[in-house]
Amino acid sequence: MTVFLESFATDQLLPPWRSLGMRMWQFVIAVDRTLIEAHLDTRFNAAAPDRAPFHYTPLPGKTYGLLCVARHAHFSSCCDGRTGRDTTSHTEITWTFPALRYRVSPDNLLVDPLQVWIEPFSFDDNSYVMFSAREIFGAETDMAVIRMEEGACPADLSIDMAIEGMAKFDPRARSQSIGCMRMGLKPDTNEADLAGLRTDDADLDSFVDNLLADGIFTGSTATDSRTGMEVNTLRQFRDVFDMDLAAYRAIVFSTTQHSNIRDLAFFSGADTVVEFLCSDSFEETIHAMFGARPHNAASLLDRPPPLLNAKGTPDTNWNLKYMPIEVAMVISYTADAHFQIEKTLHTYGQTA
Amino acid sequence: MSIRVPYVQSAASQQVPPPYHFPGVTVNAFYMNISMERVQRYCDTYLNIGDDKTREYVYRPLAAWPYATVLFLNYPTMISAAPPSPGLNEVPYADRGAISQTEVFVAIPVVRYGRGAKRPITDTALEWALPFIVVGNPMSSVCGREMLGLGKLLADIENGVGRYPDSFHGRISLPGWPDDNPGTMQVQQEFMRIETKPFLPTPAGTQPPYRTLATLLESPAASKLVGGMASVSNFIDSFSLGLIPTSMRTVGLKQYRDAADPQRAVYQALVTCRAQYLNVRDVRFYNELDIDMYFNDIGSFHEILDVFLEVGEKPTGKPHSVNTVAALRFEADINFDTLRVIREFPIDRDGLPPTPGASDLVSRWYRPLRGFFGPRRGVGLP
Repeated sequence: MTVFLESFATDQLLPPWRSLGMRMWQFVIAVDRTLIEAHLDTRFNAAAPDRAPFHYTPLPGKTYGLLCVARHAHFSSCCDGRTGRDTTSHTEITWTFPALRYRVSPDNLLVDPLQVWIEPFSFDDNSYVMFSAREIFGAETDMAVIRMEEGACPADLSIDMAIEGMAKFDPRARSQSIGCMRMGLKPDTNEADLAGLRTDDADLDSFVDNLLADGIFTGSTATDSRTGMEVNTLRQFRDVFDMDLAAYRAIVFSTTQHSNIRDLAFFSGADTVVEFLCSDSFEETIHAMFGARPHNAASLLDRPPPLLNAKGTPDTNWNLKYMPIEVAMVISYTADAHFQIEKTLHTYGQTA
Repeated sequence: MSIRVPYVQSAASQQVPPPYHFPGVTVNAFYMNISMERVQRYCDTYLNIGDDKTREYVYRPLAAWPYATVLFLNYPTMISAAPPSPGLNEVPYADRGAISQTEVFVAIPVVRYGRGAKRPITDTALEWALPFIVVGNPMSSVCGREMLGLGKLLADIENGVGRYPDSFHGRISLPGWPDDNPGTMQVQQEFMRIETKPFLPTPAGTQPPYRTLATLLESPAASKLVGGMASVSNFIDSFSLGLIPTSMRTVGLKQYRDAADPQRAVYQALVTCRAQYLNVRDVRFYNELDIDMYFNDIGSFHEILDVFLEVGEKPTGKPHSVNTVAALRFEADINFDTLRVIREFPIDRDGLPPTPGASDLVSRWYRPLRGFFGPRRGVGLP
């Protein structure tokens, strides 16, 4: 076995990880099937130069994804032998959607479909977690400033995110803190009945079945047939000499399991505001996943961004165009979460 | 890398491809003693990898230079000079704009000696190990870690003028654990701090400057030694033999863990890069006897300090004061380029033979000669 040479720079929280009292908001968003197909084809189905023995397709029917905001107040490593330096806190925003992973048989048939979750991008406000996510299981995680505030009523929810980037690409432009996302609920919003939301929308009804199958907001245990969400990530690192080549590229399979679910609530998408702010640094990401949509000159949320003038946060440019995203429904809950990296499914370029 | 595996270009990726150009960088450099044993230990752990009997090189400290350099750099403008990627309908990185950042690192000279019949001559090179490096920009930290093999951490860095005009104040805060008890929460803590008096000559100092390096270089005797040189700037730029880092070739270990078995590596390689300091100007010396520099020997920071400072086995929970032997400030333009994998190590695989390793250890001076007269070879090439 080739031993990884540890140093303080790689003194990361090693998997498996546990998050106690994770506070989660999940925004269910419908997305274009062709965009999901394009992502799967370029990341997972393409030859590099060999093909993985799997094939990924979108789920049948209308395609949805989850924009997840999770605050981990007590996030720790459960790695064997770890004593100390094992606990931190962070907030993350992740875009994830379900897909079907087929095994490619020796006869080139697609068999054994399995629902897995793909995470095209994510943001985190803790550099240690960002490095771990990128370097251990290959998430495309970037550093961000994230503020999530909740109050006595649902309408007090306020989630804002900013990154370091360019508002407009130009040889003379300077990087700055730019707003990226705003999320919240409209005034006088009340909880919705899940059964009613499902009855009103047949497509959403079947998507909720997919969520239930993986125990996302109902919880799952080790004795269940499916122990949570199976997440597949493309883990890749650039070659130092040729930026178009990867020094290492693989598909990694991990699981996320929720338990001890509490404070479960549902909200109608009509009561929700999710907006992406359009900067050149972020626009490609938005368009790749959500397509081109109309922009507004101002936010639909009438409150000022809390990142502005907040102590310890950078001066952020919120003076950008706002792209509202239609939300189908919102799920919020508190849970304990367990994250486990199971195995590397395929390593490219390493044939015998 | 024997098989060319394409990297999936991603709009979400904030990695900016090299080469880079950094004009107008302000550098504050502080020299401190370092033990050769610690440098050798670092070399043996992170550079002298593999079987000692078959390895074609060995890294050792540069015995004539028992100093580590702490550099505080302020990059007002960082420009990517990378050509556009063919086939990608994206705005070239060079046209996207510039970022700025602060950076602090500890640099230690190490010598790579080639082993074998010809290698002591053709493969021996002076390189710089960076056992500690932090930056204030997240994009830079990701690029440094994933592409270059530099263990860049993200930090809050204060880098500016201290209490007096023309003085320097530097401070680094890092995420860390105050102690090693299970369940202790990670917090942002002060890692180190440095304060100087104004650069020389100054009436603000508390210590006489007659023993400083600056005084030596400005004395008539030293002037004769460096006769013909117009300024200290030129002396540093041209005649430092690479020891005052005007052209640093850094070496770092680029490695990735196995996802499911994190104690195991799936990729290990030594990577070198050149940081070329051009147009060095406005060189000023501080009185090193008037510098307060300390590192906080607390909790998880102890592991960092143990690499390059004479600290005990356990954290003391107190600031660890360090004496500087010289300190100076200058401005320069910096080019960061010629990134190269010089040694890719074989990786063990379950049920398969190890991945093949590769070497490209030729020293700087011999590289153009070999390229002109010899066969083409290198990592990834047949």
